[in-house]
Amino acid sequence: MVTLISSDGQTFEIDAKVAEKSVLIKNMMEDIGDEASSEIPIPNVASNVLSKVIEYCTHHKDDPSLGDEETNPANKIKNIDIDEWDQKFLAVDQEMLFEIILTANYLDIKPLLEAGCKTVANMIKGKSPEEIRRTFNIQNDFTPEEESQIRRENEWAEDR
Amino acid sequence: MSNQDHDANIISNAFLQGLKHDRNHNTAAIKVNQYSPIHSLPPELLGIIFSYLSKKNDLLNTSLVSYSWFKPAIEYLWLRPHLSHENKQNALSSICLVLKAEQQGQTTTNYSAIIKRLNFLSHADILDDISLSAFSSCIYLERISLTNCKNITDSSLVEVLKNNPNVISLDITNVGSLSDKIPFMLSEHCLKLQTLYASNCTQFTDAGIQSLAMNCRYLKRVKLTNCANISDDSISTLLKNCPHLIELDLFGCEKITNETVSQVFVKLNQLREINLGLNTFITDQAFMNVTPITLLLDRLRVVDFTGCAHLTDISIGKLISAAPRIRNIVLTKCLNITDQSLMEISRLGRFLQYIHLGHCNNITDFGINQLSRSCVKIQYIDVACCTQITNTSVYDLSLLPKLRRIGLVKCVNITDSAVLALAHTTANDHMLERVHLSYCTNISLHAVMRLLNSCLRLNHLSLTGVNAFMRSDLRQYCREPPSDFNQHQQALFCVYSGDGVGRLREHLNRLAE
Repeated sequence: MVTLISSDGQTFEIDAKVAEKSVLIKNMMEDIGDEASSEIPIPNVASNVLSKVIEYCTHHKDDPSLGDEETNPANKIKNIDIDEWDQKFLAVDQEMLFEIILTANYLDIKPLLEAGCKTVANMIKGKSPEEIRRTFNIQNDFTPEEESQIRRENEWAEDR
Repeated sequence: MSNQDHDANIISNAFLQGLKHDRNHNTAAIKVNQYSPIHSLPPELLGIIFSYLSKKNDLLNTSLVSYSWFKPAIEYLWLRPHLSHENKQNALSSICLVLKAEQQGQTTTNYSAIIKRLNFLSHADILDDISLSAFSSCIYLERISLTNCKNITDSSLVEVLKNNPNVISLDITNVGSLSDKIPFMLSEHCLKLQTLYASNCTQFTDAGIQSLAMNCRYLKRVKLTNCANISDDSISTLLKNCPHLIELDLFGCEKITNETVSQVFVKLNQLREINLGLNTFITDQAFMNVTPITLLLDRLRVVDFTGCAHLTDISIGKLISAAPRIRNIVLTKCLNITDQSLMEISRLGRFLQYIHLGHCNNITDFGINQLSRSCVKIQYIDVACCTQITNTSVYDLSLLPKLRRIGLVKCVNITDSAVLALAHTTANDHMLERVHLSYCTNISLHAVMRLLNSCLRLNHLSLTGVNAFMRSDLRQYCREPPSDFNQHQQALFCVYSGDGVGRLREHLNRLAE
């Protein structure tokens, strides 16, 4: 067992197998060695987010770990599907979704990072710039001239 | 600093230089939005998100959302520019104009600094020197593919190569207008080069390849098909200086002799693919020193000795001993090959997937029996014109569990019984995809119909010159004969492919009712 401590001081006692879904924690555990009860502080992550991430790691604890190819950006485009359980798991408000992505990145949990990023990508697909801005509450800081110039400069592209 | 960080910095600098914008307006905008949760994501995570946007429109719309989104989104459009297919000429002219405008400082950002890969395969017919030179402003190119771009000459490619020390791969297959200037340019400016595909660059000579071999020491993949001026002089330097070579294609380089070939098999221990097709001067002498003790070629997967008519079973035996994991072997027109070679090849066992024995007419049912008993993973076998082959061989081959394609053209002894064996075997779950039976004159409609009805994955069936099929009602479903066939050849041509196979099946079944 491993004990994780969130930024707000909550402790989470979890299986080593669950904790090892995070490459960062896995490496830390290897550094600490075989000490019976190891405590690992996760100072950047609040307890509400950490418990969500632990829920993910618990569900996926028996998944085979991904090879390097999976994380190579060149191979990303092919695999755009998100596992059904992950989809439901990630059906949260934007603030939580982005916190999960940040945490997955920080703790180095590649499949979660990938599922999170794909979820955001799906929120962008098929939308106009204005619709994307509304979705994420972003202010347009381009002038109309700049917008039309960027469009002109990218007219050559294939509609993939 | 890692490569990626380095690139990211370059792009971000380019971006900042490029933007001509009132920063006050920008800061105000960020203030209004500081509570948008998405602003918690740093650009590198935005980049990962945008990498899942595969549609150009999504990337473009994303780049137009805001300043902070522009860079990570536009990067994916320009990293490997995919030019539109709809109006090719417009697309090509348009991107060239953008690159020219960029030279005048008139674009939103420095796009040329983003491009790493160029591939003009779908625009090969319209790419000319003027358009290619527009890309000479790129300085971070890594992979350039100009396959079939027959309208370009040395001048534009030289300009591009001159500015791009990071090129690791250049594909100029079939660009016959290029001269030795290109290998000279590569050896001067592109020292990281790993891949040069220059098949049919027939003007290349030893001088160019020699210089390349002296300087580009990291070469891994070299294809020089039909570069007939090239001789032992330059290839021996290549073999000496480039120990990382894993793929070497010298098909039709007729000046290559035993001396060089023998070096290939004792020097290149990383070798994966070797093509020596049509090097008609090669004899067993080339394999004299090939033994697993000198060099174990356990990475070698693909060998092609098409038309090396002097090779005998001795060479094949030596090769198989040194290279026990060959996956593809092409011995078409190696006329001296006998069943003894097939016994040697049988030692590859489950590693062998692809074997071409066309015109090896010393081969008999005995050899095929040995092969099919040991090499049970064979997916593709061709024994065209092996006139001694009989139904017995086909019975044996029909038991191969992975068989997808079988070539029996001009195996004149084949009868319906062989075709029925292919139809009725359950060994490969009726997974046959391509069957070649042209000039197997004894076969009948009935047998072919059974084959069609049991192998539903069949997408290619050739029956040229088979009398039973010389009927207009059947030939209406076959493919158009190639335009370079003469009248007689056109009259006999009978090949069904794709949908044609299904239509032939339906037609024959209707007739049967």
